[in-house]
Amino acid sequence: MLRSMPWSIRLTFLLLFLLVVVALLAPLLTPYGIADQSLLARLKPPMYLGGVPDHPMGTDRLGRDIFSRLAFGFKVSVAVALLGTVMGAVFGCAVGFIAAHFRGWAEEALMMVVDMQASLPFILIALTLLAFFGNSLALTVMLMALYGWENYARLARGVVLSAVAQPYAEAVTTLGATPWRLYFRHILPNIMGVLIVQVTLTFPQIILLESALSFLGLGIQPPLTSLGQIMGDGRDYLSTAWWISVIPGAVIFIIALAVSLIGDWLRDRLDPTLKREFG
Amino acid sequence: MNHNSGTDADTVRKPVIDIRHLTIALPKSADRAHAVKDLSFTVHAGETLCVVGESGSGKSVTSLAIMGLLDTGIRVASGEIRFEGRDILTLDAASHRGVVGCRIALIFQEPMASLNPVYRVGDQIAEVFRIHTDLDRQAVRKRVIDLLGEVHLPDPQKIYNAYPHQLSGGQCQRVVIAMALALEPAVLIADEPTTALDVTTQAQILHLIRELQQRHRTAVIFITHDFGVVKDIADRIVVMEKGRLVESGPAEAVLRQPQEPYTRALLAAVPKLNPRDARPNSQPLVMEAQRLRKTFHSGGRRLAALDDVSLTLRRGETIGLVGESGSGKSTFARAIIRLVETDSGEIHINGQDITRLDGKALRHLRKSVQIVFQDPYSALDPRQTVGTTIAEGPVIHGMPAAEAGARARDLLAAVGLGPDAAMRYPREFSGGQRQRICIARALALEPDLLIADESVSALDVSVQAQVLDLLNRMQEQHGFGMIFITHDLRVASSICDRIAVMQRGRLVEVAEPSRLFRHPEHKYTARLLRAVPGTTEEVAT
Repeated sequence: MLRSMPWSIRLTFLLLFLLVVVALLAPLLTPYGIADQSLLARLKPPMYLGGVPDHPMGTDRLGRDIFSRLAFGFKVSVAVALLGTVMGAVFGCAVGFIAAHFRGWAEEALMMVVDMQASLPFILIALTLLAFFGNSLALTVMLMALYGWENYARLARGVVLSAVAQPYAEAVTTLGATPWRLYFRHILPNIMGVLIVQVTLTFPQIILLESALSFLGLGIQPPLTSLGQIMGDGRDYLSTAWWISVIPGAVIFIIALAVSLIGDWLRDRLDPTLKREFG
Repeated sequence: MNHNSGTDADTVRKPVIDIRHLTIALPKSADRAHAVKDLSFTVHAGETLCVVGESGSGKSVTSLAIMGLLDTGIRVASGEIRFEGRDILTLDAASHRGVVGCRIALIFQEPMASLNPVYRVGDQIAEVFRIHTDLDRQAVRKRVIDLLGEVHLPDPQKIYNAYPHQLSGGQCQRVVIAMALALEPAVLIADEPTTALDVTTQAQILHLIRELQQRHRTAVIFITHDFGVVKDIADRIVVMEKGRLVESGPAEAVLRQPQEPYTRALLAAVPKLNPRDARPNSQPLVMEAQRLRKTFHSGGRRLAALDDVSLTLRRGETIGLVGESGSGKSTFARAIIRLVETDSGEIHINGQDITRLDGKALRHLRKSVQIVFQDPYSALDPRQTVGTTIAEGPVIHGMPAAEAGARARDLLAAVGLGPDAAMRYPREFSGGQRQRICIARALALEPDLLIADESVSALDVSVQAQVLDLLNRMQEQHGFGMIFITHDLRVASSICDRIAVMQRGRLVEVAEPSRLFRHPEHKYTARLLRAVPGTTEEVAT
């Protein structure tokens, strides 16, 4: 697998790895907490741009260290998006498997829900739920999970239907296997590749969604922080202190792009019509 | 003969295709360096050259090289392919298209796949004329309809406006042949053109190719693995093995006095039409199917796949189910094993009616009925080791894993694979080996009834013979009853106690092979028997 990896993908993996390492080591590199204010050092630009080495990425309007906040926000954003992606994937796949197994009216009903979800503007759903239930971390994660589940459901239903028609699936059935055994020991491992690709394609969208909600002040709430929230903090200072918004924006861009690139590469690798059998 | 001298053309008949020392290299990752190594042969006008070989012999690659259709990564390393005296490998893309598109035509195995499903077949043939000639619309239409008539398609006007899915496989292959012959090519390359067709259709298509060839003096390169077909149509034969030419010569000589051991082995492995008598059998019934009916509905059309079919089978007995595609033989098998639900009728396995079983009782029943599918490549879970695959059945039915593993290793030995095979994945095995694994998986449950649904059809003849032998031996050891579904009457004649002939969902005749072949009672059976390739002299004896 490693040998056939193009240099661009290796670079992407390296970049993601570095981001994670820096985020994890951040508390050792800079001594500031995410809420530590220093009103004497407000709106300091990044190092080499007139700033000081104490605050390598500058400070915000309350004199908080952007680098420390960024490292923390990165962890929150990625954790929320990962959790949301996994929950959405599991839920969506479950719906797809159930639809494919039962066929008939159960399938039609489930797929109708899927179509309805796909026809609703997601941001509207998010705003409505937030208006009803108020802000909370749990709700934010739930929203992330709700985003894109319909894609998994459609995808899973399709690939399960075609996998079940494969002779090997019929052979397992005729051995006397229960549907559980068939789906979990045989079908799932065989369609995992397709689902993983879907995960890598959805994850960047969820990162962006979280950022958008937090930027609007509807996502992660202080005292926690996330990339989108830091970006939102800098909204009023774009002309005077651009770094507050631009730096987290760049990080969001890098994460989304990196995971998308990996997703595209995986899709090409796992698609049997493009390459020889994956194994 | 001296190929290079133009003056010899008058004295010696010049070949249309002259392949000299052709070597085709494979990419580094392949299991061998060359798809074809130092291959030379010639084809003359009006002659049929049969290229015979098993899978991986390089016969298809050769035809693709002539057409310039080699996949990326596969390239001609050295040698010449001369067409009417010119080496077509040295031509630039435009002149290559001019020569190959107009003068050399190729027919593939799968007729449906060679036609574009969204265009009317007439328009697809017309396209050939539009690209290569400047005939006007009316003239093209007339030519196409003439062609459709020439390949004996009924009602050419109507066929012109039909879409490929509205035609049968045989009709599609006729359309493909019409398209290939549209520009009166000098060479027709037919790559297993009848393999996907029923025997009766195959006989008609072979006859058609023969007839058209004689009328147009086309040189035909006919690629096949079936010696029956070879006997019917070949003037000369080229035998290939692993990319090398093993033997070549006039058809008579190669078939009657093969010089090379490989050719002799191939010929010996060809299933003989050898109708046997039923073995005496007084064992209890293992299967009793009564008045099975099944109708498929699709888009307002009704297809009676099973129409009042009744059949019984004893332990230790083998019954052959033969018939054309769509005759309902696979539906019958799938009904017996409950992969298809019947509309009415009863199926008794060991005396118990199974048509209404479900859930746990059905899963328990599955232990006693097992199936081996046609395609060994898709029948094994690619992500499971062979050992786990074979042991799975016993494990499902409650055998401890260690004991099941031991049984899997025993069975691997019994089907002729080493014990280390248990740790490997299906992709590491050849088609024949995979089919052995499938058989081992089915036998691991010690079934009372084994269904072999075209289980040897996808295999090379030599491998086919081994797998048939394995099935026979296993039956002697374990005493299961076997339903053997096949379209190949030669195979059925030699291993079955009784043969059941199906046509359009009905069972038209059941008899032991020796009687069936001498005195077929039903018209359809007689037609089926006549269509078996390469058997004209054999049936007489």
